[in-house]
Parts: sequence; structure tokens; C-alpha cells
Amino acid sequence: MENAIKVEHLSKEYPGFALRDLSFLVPRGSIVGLIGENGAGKTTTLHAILGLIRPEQGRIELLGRPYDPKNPAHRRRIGVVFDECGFPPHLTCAAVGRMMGLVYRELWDAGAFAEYCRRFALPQNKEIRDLSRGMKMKLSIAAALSHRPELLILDEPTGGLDPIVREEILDLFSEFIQDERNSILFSTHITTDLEKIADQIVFLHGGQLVFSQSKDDLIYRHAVARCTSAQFAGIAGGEYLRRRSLPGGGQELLIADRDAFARRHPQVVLDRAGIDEIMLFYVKGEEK
Amino acid sequence: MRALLYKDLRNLRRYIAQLMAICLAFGLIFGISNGNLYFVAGYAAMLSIMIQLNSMAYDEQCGWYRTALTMPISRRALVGSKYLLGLLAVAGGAAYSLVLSAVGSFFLPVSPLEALAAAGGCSCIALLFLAILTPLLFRYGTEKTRLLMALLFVLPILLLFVIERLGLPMPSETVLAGLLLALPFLIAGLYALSFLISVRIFRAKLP
Repeated sequence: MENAIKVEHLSKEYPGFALRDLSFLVPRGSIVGLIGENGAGKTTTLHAILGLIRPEQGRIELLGRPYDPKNPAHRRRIGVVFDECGFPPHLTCAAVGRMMGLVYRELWDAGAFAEYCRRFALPQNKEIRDLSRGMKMKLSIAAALSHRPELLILDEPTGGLDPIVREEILDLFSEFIQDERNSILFSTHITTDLEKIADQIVFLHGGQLVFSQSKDDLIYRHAVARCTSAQFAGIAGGEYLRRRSLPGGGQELLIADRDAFARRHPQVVLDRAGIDEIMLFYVKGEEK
Repeated sequence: MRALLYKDLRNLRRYIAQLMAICLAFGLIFGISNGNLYFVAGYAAMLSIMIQLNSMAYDEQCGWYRTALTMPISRRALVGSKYLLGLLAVAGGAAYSLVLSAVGSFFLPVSPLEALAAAGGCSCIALLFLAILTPLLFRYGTEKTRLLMALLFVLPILLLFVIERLGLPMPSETVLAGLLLALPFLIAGLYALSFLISVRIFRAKLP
């Protein structure tokens, strides 16, 4: 399967932070969620992919060819949405549409932009500075989608938005992915959004890749075992991935294979592991 | 480039209208009523600088550069659009002072050559300011460059004051006339050099 994004051995160092030897894939036709705590390296990774920073090491392929940030033509099939609306405050939605038409020329679909604006109820003649955060993000998404990109790169586009707006935006991303050539790399802290739409999760911690795994495997196969100290004593180190000590003396364990564990330890309570909980185990938990 | 210019002019449209109204009021009050047309030429040139500086402040504030670099826009075009905007604004200021001189000639004794020299001289100084300021703005951003900007505006006055205090002889009319003729070429060269420096700075900042 062709990849929309191929990141190999990406490294970038800043004072006090380093992204180290990061490799992952975004297959065509999929939504990949990029997660991690603040400062884990998500934005650095996205900026490196987009050529906004120069990595010390690594190779990046976008849509099947090595990405050359100096070549503007390489950016024609990519749509990007950052966490803030990057258009000047006195432009109106209509002016953004006209400007983007001049940028993308024959690629720009003015009809599609008008349709997105209508669907999102974006006022055509209101200045950006007078729009709510939700409206600004909808405008950014409408602008990023209207040149018919094949790859969307999103840096926390749903942060700070209410659940209704988030749902509308997620619906749009799901529609976008209906075309099997299209792909999304989606960085976010709101893991419930990823649980709804992502196919794969890439988890960064402290500038390093913790895992790149299918979302279904993560949330349907993983589990959290809540056991007493006595139960914990009967569980071998190889049976769980991480553990957290409970204040009352028991242990919480992150289990990779829920069914196998349940067969071996039917007396231990097993709960579903959400992406948030899995992240917490890796960031705050201890190894075996 | 058309898209970038459209963006700046559309974003600053109200600000530009305000500047034009101020220029018009100044032209009527100081130019035609008080007979000080050349002061208005200088004022229009100074205001025209503000158009480019403000567009850069807005771009920086809203994260436009980062957004633009995810589109098929080259770094060279992004920087070049600011220089083109500066050039257009200064040309607009010069055109205004020439029109004002033409209108003023109905009421005041105005030498067309002097009016042309005033508009041209003020435009050259405005472009010189932009040539110095723009790379600094790309390098340090609008916040940090503000102090340098104030210094740059005060510096010529200080220089004249020092020359006067030291009793240094002013250049002869022939030298001044030669300098005035060479000035547009000198400024054009400096403006082009400034553009190349800004492209370099921008590429180093956002590779």
C-alpha cells in the first residue's frame, strides 16, 4: 500500500528537548492520530514534515515522493490546519476564498469553498477577528479542503471547541477519507476524537516514539486490570505492559491482550482501556 | 504574488483609507492653507512606510508566514510581496504629493521641478527606511524592531544637528544636484540588496 507520509529516523534537537529517531507511516486512505503530552514533540514532528523546521537527520516522503520544502509545487496536494487561524484578522470569509483562489488557481474549487461555508454557516462578510474560535477553525478547515488536497495535516484543530462543533468537523474528516486516496495526520489532545475516527495511533513521549498501532487493537485488545496486592503477587511481569500503584495498596496494570489475561486471571477486574488511560500508563506508570 | 498583494491590501483596506483621509486633511490644512506643500510630501512618505510595517505586524500576529508556507507559495514571493507593497505605498504617497502640488499651483506659487524633487526625495528616503527596516523586521519581529525604528527616525535629525553644531560646510549645489540624480539608482540598488538579505534571513528562520 502506498503511504501518504513516510517518516524515517527523524531527529531534531532544541535546548532542553530532542526528537529522536522517529519513524512512522501514514498509509493512504487512513486517519492517523498523533498523540502525546505537551512537549512530547507532536508539533515539532508536524513542522518537520511540513518543512517549517530543518531536522538534523531523517527522511520524509509525502504522497510517494521525497518532500522538498523549497519546492512550492510539492505543497499543492496538501491541506494544513493549525491550532490557530492563520489568516489576517481583517479579511472576511469571502476575501479568504478569493485569495486562496489566486494561490491555488486551477486547483481551487470556489464552489466547494462556498458549500463548506454554507454548511458551516460561515458569514461571508464578517471579518475574521469577529468570528468565534469555532468559526475560525471551520474557516481554516474549509480553506484547507477546497483545493481538493490528498493529504490533510492537522495540528490540534478541535482544541478548545465545544462537542457540537467538534462533531461537525469530525464528520467532515470522515467524509474526506471516503475517497481512498485521501489521508489525514491528526495531532490532538482530545483522544475521544481519535477514538471516533482514527485508524491508527502514533504515540510520542519525550520526543520518542512509544508505539504506532492500530486504534482498534489498542482500545479493543488492551485493558486495565485493577487488582489487589495479593492478586498482583500472582501475576508474572510478562503479562502486563505497565503498572501504576493505587493509593490503597493495589495495582492497576495495562494489559496488551485482554482475552488471554482474562482466561488466566478470571478473578481480576478488567476495564476497557481508553487512549487517555494508555497514555497515562506510559507517561506516569512504571515498567514491569 | 497577486494573492499576497490582494491579501495585504484587503486586510489593510480600512487602515489605508484612514491614512488617505489623514493625508487629505493634512494636505488641505498644512499644504494649501499654510502653503507648506513639501511638508505634506514628507508626511505622506512617512505614512506610506507604515502600510508595509503594519502588514508585517498583522502577518506576524496571526501566524500568516507559517500558514502561507503550507501553500504553494515560495519564500521568495512571500518576502517579495512585502517589498512590492512598500514600493506601491511609497509610489502612492509620491503620487498624492504631486497631485497636491498640481492642485496647490492654482493658489500658490509652485515650481513643478521643486515639487517633483520633493516627492522624489521623500520617496527615496521612505524607501531607504524600508530597505533598512524590512530585514530587521524579518529577523527580530515587529516588537523588537520598534525601538530600532524610533532610532532610525531620530537619527537623520541628530545627524543634521551634529553637522550644524560642528559647523561642517554643507555640500555645494552641484554636489547636491549630482546626489539627487544618483539617489534613485542608489536607493534602487539598496532596496534590491535589502530584498536579498531579507530572503536569506527568512530562509534561515523558516527553512
